Amino acid sequence: MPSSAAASRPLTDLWLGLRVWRVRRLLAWALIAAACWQIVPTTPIPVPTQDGAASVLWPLVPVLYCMACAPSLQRLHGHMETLAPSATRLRAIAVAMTVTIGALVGLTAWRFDNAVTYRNTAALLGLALLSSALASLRTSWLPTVLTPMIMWLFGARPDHQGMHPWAFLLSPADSVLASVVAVALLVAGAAVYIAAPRTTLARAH
Amino acid sequence: MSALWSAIRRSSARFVLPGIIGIVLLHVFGRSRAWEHEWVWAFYQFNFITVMLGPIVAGIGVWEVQRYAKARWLFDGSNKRFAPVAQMWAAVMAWVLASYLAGIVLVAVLVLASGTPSLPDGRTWALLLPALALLGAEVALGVVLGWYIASPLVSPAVAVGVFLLSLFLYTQGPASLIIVGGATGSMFGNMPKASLQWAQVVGYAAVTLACLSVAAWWGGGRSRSRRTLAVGSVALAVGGVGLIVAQGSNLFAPYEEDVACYGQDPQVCGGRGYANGLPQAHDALQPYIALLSEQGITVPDRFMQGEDPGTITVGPLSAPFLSGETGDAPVLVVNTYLSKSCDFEAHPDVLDTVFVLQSWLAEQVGDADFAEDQYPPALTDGTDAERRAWMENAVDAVKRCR
Repeated sequence: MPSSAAASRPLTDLWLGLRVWRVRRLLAWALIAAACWQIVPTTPIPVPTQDGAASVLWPLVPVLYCMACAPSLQRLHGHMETLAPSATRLRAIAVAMTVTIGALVGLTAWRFDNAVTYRNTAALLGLALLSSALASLRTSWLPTVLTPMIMWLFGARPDHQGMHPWAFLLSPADSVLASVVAVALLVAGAAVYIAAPRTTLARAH
Repeated sequence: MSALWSAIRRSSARFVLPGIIGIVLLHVFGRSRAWEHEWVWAFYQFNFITVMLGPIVAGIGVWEVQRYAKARWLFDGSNKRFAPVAQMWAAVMAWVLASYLAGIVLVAVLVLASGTPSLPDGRTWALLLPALALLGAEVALGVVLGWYIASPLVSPAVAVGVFLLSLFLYTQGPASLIIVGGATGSMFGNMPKASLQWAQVVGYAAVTLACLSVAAWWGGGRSRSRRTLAVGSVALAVGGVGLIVAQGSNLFAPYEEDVACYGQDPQVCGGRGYANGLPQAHDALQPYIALLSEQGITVPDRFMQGEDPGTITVGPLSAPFLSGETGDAPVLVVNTYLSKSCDFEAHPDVLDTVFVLQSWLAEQVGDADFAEDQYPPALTDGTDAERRAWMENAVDAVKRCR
């Protein structure tokens, strides 16, 4: 029965993904991010060694979830993809699942501007997907973790003059540049992750 | 030794070396380089890199030990477990040390290129030790956590945790536990307290030892000696942290600096690194001093870097002014008479007087940047005597403000 076999493939992919992909750990980090959003200060914190510069921490909370994505997604590679009926479909499901969990985490940021929290989740997820495809398992966390740190420490202008444009994670919600960069990162990350040749992913694993 | 050399050559830290060097360059060139004329300030500011490097090297420490996970049974079955763990730590630290020293060399080149004479003294070189000890403790924290938990998520979690802990200690204290560097203004005449620096070196070294000995203790065949070492070193680490906290919140002590002076009426004195800027500073201040003298005001015969405002007989000088930002000359001249303890909220009229004095003086010497819309009639339409009387009263009011 070819039609029923075809219909069952996505479910098979999903089931395989759930088993091998560290979904429980990812959910645990999603919960930690959600909890962090309840306690993180809403007011700006003085940036050390930058006179008159202060910046908020809450836009960077998505990093707690996104940093777990790259090591988790890479668990899909190798034997897992060999077994799966379609590696591309498996990766697409993984991306969709990651984005869905990220969106659910964003719902818990009710104290903050959701436009910023979703934008930053998208940007950091894109970065995590890119590094999943391009970096090794042990180094894939570095871009996702380092980018927010650098932006926070170096992105604030002195004397309360706002942020540098390149520190887009800390830009206000109405920043078109930040939104464009975030969408571009997510799209590029998803495309590279899904389309990466098996050899690349095997090296990554 | 060959085993250690081999571990260094194979260390995972070498893979992220370009990233670490990128952070060093960002730290040096991505912020103000006003520190180029002071050795102490330059080294102390460079040490702020620990806030960026600390989380990364902690994550790399995790990664380093996790690479040995498949050979874990070899370690657990061995009687010598401290040495291999210490070797993994040393392999990462060697690369961290190399990157850090490369950054210090870069800073030294920039300081020398700015015309700062002589080399840093031993006390200034000692500024590097707490920063390196802190980085060592952060690598060791990664080593012990990576040794216990095999998940690839430990690296990013430890990195983010160390970063957040650093920020928490910076903002909520005790700051002495984390501050080993970072200054936005000149450190002329100041040096981090020697007692605090040694406490930090000892404390961080104790934390490092505790992390490594706990990692060595864990696993098969936990011997009594290793347990004793682990418990003892943890107690030592707690004591070391207590020693750092006990140094209090005052991180600095006065420090005698080499001073260079230039000219007369006024004589201008600053750190030796600012020697090239002294003539320019003198020329910027001189017309203001001459103008005040003409008005019968007692003027300082010397301006000195690091001097407190309000001293009257000696004027203050700032590092930016000595570095060429001479537009602040009227501000410095008026600050000669204005005490730091002057409460402007209680005396708003004094603040107005200060602005009028700065603007009028600047306008008289031809600096249009300080133009003021409204001057008192005594200054604009008064006779010489009325103007002198107004100036004397204004300066007296500024002097009296507390």
